[in-house]
Amino acid sequence: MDDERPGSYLCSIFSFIRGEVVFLAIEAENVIGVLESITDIFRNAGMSVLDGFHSVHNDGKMWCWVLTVDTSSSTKPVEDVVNEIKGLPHVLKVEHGVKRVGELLFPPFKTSFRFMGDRAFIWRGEFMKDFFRSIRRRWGDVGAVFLYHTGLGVGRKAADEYMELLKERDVKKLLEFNGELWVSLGWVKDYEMEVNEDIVVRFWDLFECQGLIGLAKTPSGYFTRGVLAGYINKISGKNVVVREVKCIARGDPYCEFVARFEE
Amino acid sequence: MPETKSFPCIIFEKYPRNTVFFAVEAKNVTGIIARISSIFREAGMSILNGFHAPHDGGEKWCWVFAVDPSSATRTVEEVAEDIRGLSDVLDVRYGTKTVAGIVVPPFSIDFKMRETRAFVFDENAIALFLKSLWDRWGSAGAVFLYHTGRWAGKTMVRAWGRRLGVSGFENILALMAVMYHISGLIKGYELQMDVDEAVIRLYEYFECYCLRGSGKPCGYLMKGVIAGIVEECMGIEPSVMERMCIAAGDPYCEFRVKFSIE
Repeated sequence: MDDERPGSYLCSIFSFIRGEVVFLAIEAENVIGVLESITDIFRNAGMSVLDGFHSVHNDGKMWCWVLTVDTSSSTKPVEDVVNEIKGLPHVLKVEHGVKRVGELLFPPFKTSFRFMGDRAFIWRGEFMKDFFRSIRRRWGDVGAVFLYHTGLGVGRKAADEYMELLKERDVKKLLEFNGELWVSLGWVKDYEMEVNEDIVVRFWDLFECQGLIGLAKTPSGYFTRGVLAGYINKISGKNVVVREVKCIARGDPYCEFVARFEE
Repeated sequence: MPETKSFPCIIFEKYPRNTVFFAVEAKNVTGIIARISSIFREAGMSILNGFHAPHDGGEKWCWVFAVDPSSATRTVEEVAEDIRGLSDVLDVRYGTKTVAGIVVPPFSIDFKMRETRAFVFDENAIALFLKSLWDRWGSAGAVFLYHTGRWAGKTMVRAWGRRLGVSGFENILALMAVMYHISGLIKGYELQMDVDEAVIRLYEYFECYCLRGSGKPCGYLMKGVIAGIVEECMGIEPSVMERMCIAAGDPYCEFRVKFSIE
């Protein structure tokens, strides 16, 4: 098995805000080969498949594919292509089109996001940046206190939940689980940790600090610091002090948190 | 909200232990996805959830997906070799990583939405954040959310004006609703504008959706965002009320904005 973590792969959702594109949503029975028969139609029409996602749902019975297609070199009208896809065996439904808001393009159909069985929400970097910058600008140091103590509660609740879910109480394994979860959610690009007398956790491109790059002179991961403190405290049952000693917001290559148990 | 079909994007789920994740990088040429998927069909492997995207200015294209090999007629290694042998394919990685019993891809993934980095928040994470905020700070948490939202609303108006050339309360609100919609933050919306007031109806708005069952309106962040947008666009301090809320058991969240306070 090739199981090292290589460079990041891009999951891009609706990135084509301008240009000659059309959005499609295709629902089909989940049978082997259905994707190939659809892609054959795009290839024959000279249409290039750009970004998109495909998902299995309804207990594995159904499969849907939402995608953006470049129509600039196509040899057929979009309607002909859509009709061909509708005519394929196992294809149940095809929606297509472009919704324009001003000059911007959006899909005309609804999508919903799910992560590990739960509803999920996508926060664009701009939203995240505005949220954390607004906290710091509106509240100053009080905002940091708010974030730290809210994070503390989040960490404790998350620890309870994961210990129950995984039937696990080992700090290292639970920190590893948390790191993988954060990578999967795109909150960090990667992580490292060392569990010795102190616990050192490093996060690359931490969501909380990435919007504050160039603005902060001091480490700015207050929420994350709280989460780690609450998480480690709950799992270990010991008092712990967490410091952020490196932070991307002030120009370090990653954010580094050091947790030290109190006597 | 009209009943229409929603197409799910399943980012990750609880996969069986035999699931294999693939990451294929190729030149961005028409037909590449058809050639790769035919190898999986011939091997009797079912392609599950995944996503694909062009990158490097459209020169390259990558596809990351989970595969069910339980009915496969060939080994995963053979399939990977066949894909590597295709013209235009640059790199193929595959594998599975198990962390505390949960199967995850061994690759790192960058999420992007409309050209900027994006972050996924599942409902559990948002609920943990909001409940911790309420538990720790009580009604001060509401003040915190409202004013943070207000500041963010003002910032958003300035940023969208600068980057997208969009201005005016109605336009900003319409664009925000569409952006929230494609991000999964709401499932539908209705906007009614009048000279004196606006009514904003949001379906399954994330902040309140994650606090369902709390028995009271909870959309403080959104109230603040709306107030901030009005202030920045119109130069007045509006009154924003959340008159209905899914957290209180209503079918949707309804925000009423009064532009002039009587």
